[in-house]
Amino acid sequence: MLESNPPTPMLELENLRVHFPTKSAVVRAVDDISLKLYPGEILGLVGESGSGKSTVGKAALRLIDPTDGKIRINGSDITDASGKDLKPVRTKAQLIFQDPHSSLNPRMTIGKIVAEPLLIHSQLRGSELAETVSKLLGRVGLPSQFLHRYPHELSGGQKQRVAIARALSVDPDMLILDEPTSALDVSVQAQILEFLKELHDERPRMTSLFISHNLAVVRFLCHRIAVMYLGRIVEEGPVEQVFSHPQHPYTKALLSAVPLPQAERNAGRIHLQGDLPSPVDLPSGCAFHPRCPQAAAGKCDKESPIWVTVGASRARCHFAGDVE
Amino acid sequence: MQPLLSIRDLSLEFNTFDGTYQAIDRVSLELNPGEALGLVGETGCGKSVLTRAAFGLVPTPPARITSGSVLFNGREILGLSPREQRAMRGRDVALIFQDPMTFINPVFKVGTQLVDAIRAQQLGKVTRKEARDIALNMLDKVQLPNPVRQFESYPHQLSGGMRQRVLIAMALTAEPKLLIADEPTTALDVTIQAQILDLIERLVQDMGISLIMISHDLGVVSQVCSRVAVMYAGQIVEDAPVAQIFDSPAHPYTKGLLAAVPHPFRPEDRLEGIPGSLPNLYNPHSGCRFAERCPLAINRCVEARVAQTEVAPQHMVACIACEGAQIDA
Amino acid sequence: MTLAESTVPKPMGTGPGDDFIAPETDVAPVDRFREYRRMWATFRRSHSSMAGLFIVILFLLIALIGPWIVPFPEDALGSIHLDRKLQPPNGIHWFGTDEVGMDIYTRVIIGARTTLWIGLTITGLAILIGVPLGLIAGVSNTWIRETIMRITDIFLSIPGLILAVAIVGALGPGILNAMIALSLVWWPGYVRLVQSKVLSVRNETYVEAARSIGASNFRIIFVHILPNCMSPIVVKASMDMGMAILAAASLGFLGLGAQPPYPEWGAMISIGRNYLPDWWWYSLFPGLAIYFTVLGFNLLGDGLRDVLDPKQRS
Repeated sequence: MLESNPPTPMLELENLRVHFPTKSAVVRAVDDISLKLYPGEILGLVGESGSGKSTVGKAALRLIDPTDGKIRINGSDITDASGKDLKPVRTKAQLIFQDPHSSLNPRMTIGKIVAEPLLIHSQLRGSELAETVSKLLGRVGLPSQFLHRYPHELSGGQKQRVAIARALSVDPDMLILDEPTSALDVSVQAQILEFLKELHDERPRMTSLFISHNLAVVRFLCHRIAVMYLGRIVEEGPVEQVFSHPQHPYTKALLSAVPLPQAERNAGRIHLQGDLPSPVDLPSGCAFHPRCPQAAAGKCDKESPIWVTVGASRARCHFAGDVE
Repeated sequence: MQPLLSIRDLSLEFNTFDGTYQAIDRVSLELNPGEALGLVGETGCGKSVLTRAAFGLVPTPPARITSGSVLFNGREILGLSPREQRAMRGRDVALIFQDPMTFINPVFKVGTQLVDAIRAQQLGKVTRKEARDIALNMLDKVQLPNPVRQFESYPHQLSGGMRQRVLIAMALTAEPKLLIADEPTTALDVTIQAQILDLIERLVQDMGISLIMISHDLGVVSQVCSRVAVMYAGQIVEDAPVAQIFDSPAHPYTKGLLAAVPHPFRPEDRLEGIPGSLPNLYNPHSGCRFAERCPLAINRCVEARVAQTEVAPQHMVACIACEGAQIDA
Repeated sequence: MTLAESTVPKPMGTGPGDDFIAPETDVAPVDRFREYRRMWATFRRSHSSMAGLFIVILFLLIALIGPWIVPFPEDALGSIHLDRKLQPPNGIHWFGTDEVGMDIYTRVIIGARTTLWIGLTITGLAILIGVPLGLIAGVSNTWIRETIMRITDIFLSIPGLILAVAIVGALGPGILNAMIALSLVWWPGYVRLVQSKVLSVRNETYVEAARSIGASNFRIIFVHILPNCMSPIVVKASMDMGMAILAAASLGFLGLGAQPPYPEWGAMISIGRNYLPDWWWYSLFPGLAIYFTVLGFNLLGDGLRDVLDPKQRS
């Protein structure tokens, strides 16, 4: 099928900024981010702690109010929506949190937790509701005996399945997954990742923003990747290209630092100097220059780099695309 | 060669409200001087408890060691008095943990704590001035930027990576024979993790210290260790050189674990999880605890203890399916 | 059937379908009351908690059946038998008699009901005022919180009993006025407690999760926040029962609470004080009753705190 117009993005962030004022300064958690997620896509948003990746996810659902910029979900602007206008967002897009232990209310049974979005958004009640909830539990691989259990009686993986069942109950088109497997063991992580992958295979319109610090998981699950550093996206592109030909020195360092599950040790590991600078006091020019092995004095510390397109991906580095 | 650490048939149980939880089941493990061993397993497999119990760090009760012996440098250390155990932990064995904050007191300056720790390890034989020099020297060795300034900082002023460096410095000042690192990089970002792993590997080699690295991450272990022991539900299921574990894993659990880990540069089409969940350890059978989840399980797996067989040089597997088999390395 | 056949799980995720993740095979029969049994086991380990529970149960039992077990029911609300006045404890009058010949044992037993009523009313009214205010203060971010909390601070900065004495002074002595006065000085503690608990609970991830699925504020407050604030409220209420009883007895002792011959322990001590030390039993037995009741509620509160809210301990 040929289309002349590109499809409407499921999620579109335009020059999004989220700043948190503190007593003495302003924390620039998210600083001028633009992203488009098209229907059916899984975008991996990668970065280290303090990069602002979780804030992007929460701002996209208006759980945190953006300081500046636009948020569109399926074409409709929700940047200033409130109350009733947000209701479609709350069903179209669902959020899954990192820590399944704290994202389920300890005083509610599993059945009540999964039923809650339906109670809020649908007309289902009574036995119809109970049946739907059982089906949802079955869909994520939990037996219906779990309906009357409390979260503390479940393992971490089981709790995360409950959280997924809750998210799927309202038939969303978009999932925002905030490190959904980083609190889980690898064998459980594998099951959850497989589930997400098959969910996408089954529903062509399902779109996911997968926030993670784990590059291997992103490589397995995602189609595209966006790498964040200090509140900005520094590189963005199809996973195959970014993993095989990273352009930004931060992406290169990140990829070289991943401990590989193989007998041979990582070769050519790039060492970054020091720690992440404070988001209150961002470095001048390219924010990465104090730690960058390729930084050129007089350029990188003065000029903020613009996007350079290389093949299907793009990077925000003065030297992107240069032949090494 | 006499092993530095030799754990034999160690069993440990916890008395809990629900009954007796059999956390460690007749585990045997040896570590040679200068060797770097990785202890790998998922949550609840007993990898942390095993090493802590061996060095008297598990409170009894509720725990109870029901059998076994632990020889350190040829000397039995299981029955030592708390005082002797403390002395040994300061001098011969050092431990570092996932969260450095639990081992650094937040209200004292980093330098003060290092000096006190050094003076305690040397039994007061050094003056504060000498201890300060030792500490600064050590901070330099762990590549803490600006050691003199950090000496006067409080722990909360340091980043996670810096705190872990301080803790490593504190652990290694006494030049112990054995370093036990329990998930030392789990709370850190990948780029910082890479720095710390390199640091641990280099220090351990330079100082001739043996290492036990406890981790849930096979990748982390492969960066630092030469040998890996895989634990499942309180039993060691496989013990082999790193290359063997990755290239020719023998135990079904090790295979399952490897198939569950995604590789960033060799993307797989699908990941195999391990179906099922940890067995109930309140009343376990005496056989292989992986049997309930194992695709190869037969009746004999649960009837009696499964002994370790050597399938290749130094490659031990506790699996009936591997009995008599030989793997070409 | 061999183990291999019975336990080999099916391969998971056999393609898109209804059953994405292999069903959990280990649906162990779960003990529905395990959590309660564990709490009870913790509670039972502590001798003082058990002593507290025993005293409180005994107290409730006496309050319940008191009027039917006393030997001299006519003495409950006042009668005069000058022929047997100020008798020391004996086989007929176990706790002795007072200056008009009323049986002190009867009056102490009957007094339990008064005391229970006082404790429940004061604590109950304090909760009814304090918890909603604390909840409002905790969930609002504006001047509403500031107003509530500053008023609370003002009340907390004045010694409660003195304020209560002043209020009773204005309203006039009497048991009802004493209870109203004590309730009015008791609620600020609940505001502080609930407000601080709400502030921590509302930052929990499950509250954020509820917001992300579009739950209304009403739902978030009453389904997600309030139920998770209950433990410290229950603990404080149990402790406050004892404290409120003590405070009411103090007002009675000062002559501002229950008026003689109403069988209230504080008022009984107040009169009995004039007969010390020769007629010691007159004030000793009501005193012991207050002592054990307050002790019981405090021990029970301590025990409940250890079970329900271990973090609060220190």
